[in-house]
Amino acid sequence: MTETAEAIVVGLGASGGIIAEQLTKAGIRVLALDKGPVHTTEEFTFKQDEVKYYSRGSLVPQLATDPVTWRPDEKSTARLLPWAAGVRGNSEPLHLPPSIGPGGGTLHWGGASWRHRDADFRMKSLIEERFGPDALDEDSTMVDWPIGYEDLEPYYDRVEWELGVSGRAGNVKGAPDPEGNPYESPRERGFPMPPLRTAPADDRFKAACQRLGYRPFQQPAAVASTDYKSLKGCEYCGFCHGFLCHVNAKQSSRITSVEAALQTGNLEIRSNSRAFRLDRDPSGRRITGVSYFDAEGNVHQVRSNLVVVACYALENSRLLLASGINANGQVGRNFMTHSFGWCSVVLPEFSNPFMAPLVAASVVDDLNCDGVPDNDEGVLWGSVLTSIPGDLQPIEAAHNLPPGMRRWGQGFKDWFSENYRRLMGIHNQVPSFPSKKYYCDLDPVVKDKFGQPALRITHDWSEHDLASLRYFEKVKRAIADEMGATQFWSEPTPPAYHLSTHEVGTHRMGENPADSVVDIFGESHECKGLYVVGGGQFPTLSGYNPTQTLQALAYLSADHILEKV
Amino acid sequence: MPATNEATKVRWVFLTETEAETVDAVCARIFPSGDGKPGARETKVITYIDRTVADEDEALRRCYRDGVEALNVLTLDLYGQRFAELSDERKDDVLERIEANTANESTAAPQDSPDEGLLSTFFALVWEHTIQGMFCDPQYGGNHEALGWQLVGFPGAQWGYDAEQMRPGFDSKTIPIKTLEDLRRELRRADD
Repeated sequence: MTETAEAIVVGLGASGGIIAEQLTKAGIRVLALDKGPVHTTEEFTFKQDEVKYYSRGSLVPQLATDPVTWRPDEKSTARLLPWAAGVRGNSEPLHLPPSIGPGGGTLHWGGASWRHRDADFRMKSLIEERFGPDALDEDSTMVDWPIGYEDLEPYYDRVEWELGVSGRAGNVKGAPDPEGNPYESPRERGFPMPPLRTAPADDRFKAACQRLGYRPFQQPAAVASTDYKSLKGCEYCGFCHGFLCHVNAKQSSRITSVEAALQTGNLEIRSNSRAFRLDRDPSGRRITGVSYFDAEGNVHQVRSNLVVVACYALENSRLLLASGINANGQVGRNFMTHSFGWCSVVLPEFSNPFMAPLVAASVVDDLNCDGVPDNDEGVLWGSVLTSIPGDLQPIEAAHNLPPGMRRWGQGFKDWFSENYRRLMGIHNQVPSFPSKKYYCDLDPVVKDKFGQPALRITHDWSEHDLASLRYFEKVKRAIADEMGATQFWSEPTPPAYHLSTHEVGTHRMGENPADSVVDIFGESHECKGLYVVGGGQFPTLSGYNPTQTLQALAYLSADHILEKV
Repeated sequence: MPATNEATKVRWVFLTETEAETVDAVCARIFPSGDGKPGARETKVITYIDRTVADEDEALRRCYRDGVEALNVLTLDLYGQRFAELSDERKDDVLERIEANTANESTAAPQDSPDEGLLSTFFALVWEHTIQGMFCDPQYGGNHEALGWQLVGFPGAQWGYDAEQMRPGFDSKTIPIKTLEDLRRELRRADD
């Protein structure tokens, strides 16, 4: 007998959790399928364990169950990407898709919580107005967003107040606050919590940036600075990105949305359940349910005429492709990600980089978005510049050493034991642009252990990405000098990885069904009743972290679904 | 490294005595002792590695097995001694060659010499595990008595830090180090 559900949500991460909460609160009975295990707070009481979470990646998908392949271009053969590679001694950095299990990416995230600026929704128009119609590469598939900042503002507000974000507003209804972000687009009200206490080295960063004429402010953070709703005030233990919070200070859909949905009595979670096919009616135009494997590999089929697929940009597109839902050939196109520009400095005094969250930090936004100055390098769009003064444990630190230094022996021992306590990071992230050349499809060879095809990423860093990294490296070096750093170095450029946990664009939203996959509410153009949500909807990526924007989109989708049912 | 006897045979979960001796010698060049400060030997990195590899999959275990053998084949070829028997200078020379991927260039019989990829993968793996064994929570068998954390000034498994401790320049070595076991004990006491 085939089982029936009123609504199915696949993936209970940042987006899926929000939608499950909104639907269940409206009285809809939701069946949630998540391929990971259910995590309890008790499991994380003793989470101060770098081997378990950083080295062995116990929250993230593993190569054996979730293979992804990559190739730089169509002429090359794709190879398996190391997902959780730490224990293997792999030379490639540990860059992963998000954690699995209810909470998803919000289990392990750092908690940088950003609204896009008004300009981010009009990237293509603004670049062409300023730099001319030929500024973008001929393979560019860049488009403006079909919605604007004003459409999302109420939803950004909901993220901040319903889920909890700490920070200081810079622009409430047009009234500037010099302590907040001077470049923020206008907001209806401020944050529900004041900013976090900053990690030790942040003062020095902030002062140096001010002397250089920048306008640093404190990063908005999805980490509670005070008790707020189900969140508890941060204790600054410093095990934050890659770790789950032992006091529930870090906003995670596991303890916000999913918990609230469970309390309605309308949510059933099936963990360790891996959706492998989206089922449709004979015309293919209407969703009819989801097929999934349980932990033992048994196949189950659940019928429903409302299905929300919310399992990250990569897996969302893989699932659509594996289900044959790609009539216009647009699924997996427009893959975008951030190239991270990590720099490290050694400071003259103790910076104690193991204290406080990654986001207990200041940010310079002067060079972000269309604020990037005219430059000879051809940089068309900017990036945030962030101090990274906290959340650095010794094993991770030992993986980022000055280039040219022998990473073993007495010299290494002396350097590391002297300098670990004096480290700090300066970071920026360059948004890649959508291009015909960069996309995801099904790997013709590699399959997972259930026999399902792996996702294949075709991506390389563009000239523009490299120019941007070079440009921002100079800016960071100048800040480091002004800080009085005794050493400064950057991670290699271009980066060796092609996954950043900021993958977006693979099921672009748009009004025209010919060149997009979903509409502005996340509903599939091709298959009614099927919503495909998350960062995969983004037409362009910005210099900011994507999570708060995809959370806002999830609220927008939920409102729309509830209007229709 | 103690000589092989019935008592020491049971010391290792996965490694043989020879493997333990060789791997330990590599770890001790990555994080040396002898300057009055703890290195890989004092923190018992080899215990961490033995337990970790025992829990790992076959591919990784084979990398250790074959890597140790290949390393000793190489040094017997070059110097007539196993790796652990070499002087520190020669050990470093061999590891440098492996890292530069030139380990086999001077060997007399290249057709018999071990695969270069294996040795560099093996060294990368031992490096990775040495770092983990130096700075892991002591419950994993490494970082014995939190000596690795003491060395670098990391206070370990803390519930949190207060504003005074978060002042720039604060000496973190004044904070008593805690391990996960300490945290467990504190919670048990609080429950009583």
